[in-house]
Amino acid sequence: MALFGNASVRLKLILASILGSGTALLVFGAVITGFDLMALRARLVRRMTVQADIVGANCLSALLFNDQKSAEDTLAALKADPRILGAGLYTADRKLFATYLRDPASGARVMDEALGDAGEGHLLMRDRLRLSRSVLFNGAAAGTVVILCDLREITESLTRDVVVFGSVLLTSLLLALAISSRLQRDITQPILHLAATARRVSQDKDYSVRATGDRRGEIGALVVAFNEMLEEIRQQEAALRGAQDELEQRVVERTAQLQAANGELEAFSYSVSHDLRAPIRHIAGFAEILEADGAGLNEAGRRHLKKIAQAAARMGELIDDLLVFSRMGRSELQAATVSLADLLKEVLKEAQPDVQRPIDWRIDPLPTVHGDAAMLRLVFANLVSNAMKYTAKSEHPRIEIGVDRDEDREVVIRVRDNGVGFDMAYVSKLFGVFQRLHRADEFEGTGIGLANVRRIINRHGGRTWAEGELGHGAAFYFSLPKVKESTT
Amino acid sequence: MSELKRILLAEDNENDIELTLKALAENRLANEVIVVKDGVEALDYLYRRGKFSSSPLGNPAVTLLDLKMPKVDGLEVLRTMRADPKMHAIPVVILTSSREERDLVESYRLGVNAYVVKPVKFQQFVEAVKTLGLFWGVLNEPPVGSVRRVA
Amino acid sequence: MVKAARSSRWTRLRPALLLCVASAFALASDRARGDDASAARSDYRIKAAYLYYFTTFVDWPSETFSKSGDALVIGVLGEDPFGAILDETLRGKTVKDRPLLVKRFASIKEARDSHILFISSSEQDRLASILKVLEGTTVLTVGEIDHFASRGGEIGFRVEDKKVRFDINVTAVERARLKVSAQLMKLGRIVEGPGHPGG
Repeated sequence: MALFGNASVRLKLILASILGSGTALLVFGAVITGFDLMALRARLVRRMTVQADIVGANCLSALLFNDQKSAEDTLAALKADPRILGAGLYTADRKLFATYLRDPASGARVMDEALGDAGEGHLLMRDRLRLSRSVLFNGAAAGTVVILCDLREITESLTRDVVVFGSVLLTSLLLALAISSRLQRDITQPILHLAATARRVSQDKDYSVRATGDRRGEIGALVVAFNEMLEEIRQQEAALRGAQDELEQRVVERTAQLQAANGELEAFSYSVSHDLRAPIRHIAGFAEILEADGAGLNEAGRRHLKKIAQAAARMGELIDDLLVFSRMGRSELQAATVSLADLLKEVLKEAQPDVQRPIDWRIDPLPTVHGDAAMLRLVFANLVSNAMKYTAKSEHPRIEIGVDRDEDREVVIRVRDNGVGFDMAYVSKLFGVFQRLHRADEFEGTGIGLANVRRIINRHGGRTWAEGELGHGAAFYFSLPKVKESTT
Repeated sequence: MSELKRILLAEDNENDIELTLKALAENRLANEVIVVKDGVEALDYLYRRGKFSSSPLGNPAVTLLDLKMPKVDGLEVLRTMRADPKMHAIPVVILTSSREERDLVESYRLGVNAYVVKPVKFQQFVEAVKTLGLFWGVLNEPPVGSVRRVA
Repeated sequence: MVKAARSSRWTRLRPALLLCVASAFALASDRARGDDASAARSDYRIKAAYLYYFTTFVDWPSETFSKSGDALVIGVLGEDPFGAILDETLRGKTVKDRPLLVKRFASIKEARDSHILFISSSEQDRLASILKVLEGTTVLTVGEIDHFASRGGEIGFRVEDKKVRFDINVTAVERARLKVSAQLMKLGRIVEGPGHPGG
């Protein structure tokens, strides 16, 4: 099993050495065979040339004295050489004078009747060699001898070569296989061990394990480096764990601090809700009483009183809003499946639109989401009340509420109105606490509504943003992430 | 019989007392109001002990209770009242500045009849008091044992 | 007399007819003789060439040449049937760097120094005595006389199937101390000669 797991490396090593030696041998063999072939051919040509010369010399007299029979008898002596397929003697005017055919039954046309323009020399054809030699008499050509012989000598020799070479190759490859098979172990063994060690370390997460083995050579260097790496990892891991523990400790401390702070905040807002409100009520109350009583005040005095009452009332509103805002941040998110459509319906019912100025409501179907119903209702309440407030001065107020985008990961709801809108230059202030883009006498409100919306949506993991144009209305968007239901 | 019945007002803040009485007076409901300044006095009155040992018999038709009072606070008073069979039926309206959820929850748990948050605007406060007074002080039939105006 | 008239016409024609036939015959035989003549001429061309070839295939003892560069003499004894053919054939050729020289002899005594001697058919009656004179020499005797070789000559030409062939008398050749190449030997018909020349 271990062998198979490492087969590719092993195989590569063995293949490499076999291919190496095999290629070398093949190249060598090919070259040798090539040279051999050339030598064999040359030798054959030489031998045949000699034969041709001999037979030609022997035929000279027959040629000169026009004795065809004698010439044929002489040519027939070539029978002794089994390689020779046939021979021909041509006269000085290139006509066939005498022939010899080894196998008369076969190719009767072995010899051409006329010599043609083939001069002295040899022509190596596919399966035979054709050799012409001039028969000289006193330096001049008295005729030509043409010998045809087969190449069996060459092919036999080559075949022998190839067989020998083939068996040598096979033997050498087998030897190479055996040797490399043994030697590759030196390389693969430590690699295997290293791989096994690595696997063990990652499985058991035990960083005290070390690889063993020979430390010499490149593999050895790898083993040493591997061990060093493990030591590093072990140290890092220990340090990490230490840091983690420390962090957890700190988290515990911080959480305690946070909880303490939260508690303080709760106590604070609780006391604010009671203690701050009381004096404000008193101020407002007595100022109003004074106002009603007249109390001998002049015009200015009465106006001042009115302002006192108004200021106190305003302060009360602010405090109420602040309290709501803080509560939204502190209280538990009670997540449940919430039908936004139902929420909106409730909000709209309570919104008490002005009958005299009917609003064109365009409500699209809203999805069901995961969130805190009370908080989300507040979101709608704020957005709707804002929309209504800022379209109060419009001729034909129109408020659209619907889904802007419904994607895999989140759904985006849009509340759009065609009211007074706002200048996009101040868009960054819109969602700030107590930030307003209109004066109190233009539109009432404390500027906490959108801050609440943002706070609530952020707690749900969503985003809030807005677009608007002065005089052309505004659109408010909030996104709610979709929680993947793991169980139905 | 729509006659004004006795109202017990438990409130520690002088200003609040004045404002509440003023609001009641504007609605001509201030005649039979007993004012106590803290939880101890409230219980003294209800048990007719201490400085109230000589008060006439009978429970108030409604108790207007503030929550934040020194010594014994409103919730304590409420708890005590509800625990005592002689008083547990007395209508109690918590009249407070606090809108805190836990106060709300605790109050109803202890069996309060109504919980009203004092509005900041005085006019609204007057309206609220009028409604409370007219209902609890005039319209509602108090439980048996409530004192009537002795002629 | 009708008979007489007929016969007189025939009689008148006969000589003319005879003349025609005779001349026809004469012409025919003339042509035949002409064919024979041209055939003979080409034969002599071949024989002349053969004489030249013989110089290649026969070795004369070195003393027959007083020094290197000496010409090899080819002689014709008697009526020369070759004529210019022999000279044309041998002109300019050399054998082993020796030039070839054609000589014509009338008497045998002059011809003793030739290397090859063609004995013309005109001498056929005197053949035995000619050969006797040539005893002890290294002359290669060639002839076309009938039975030339069996009569003691060394190489005798004959025509067989329109081809020029030759007989070789080996004994005569040996006696002349000449070496004839095997190549030549195999081409010729070996003939036994008389026990001694002139017999």
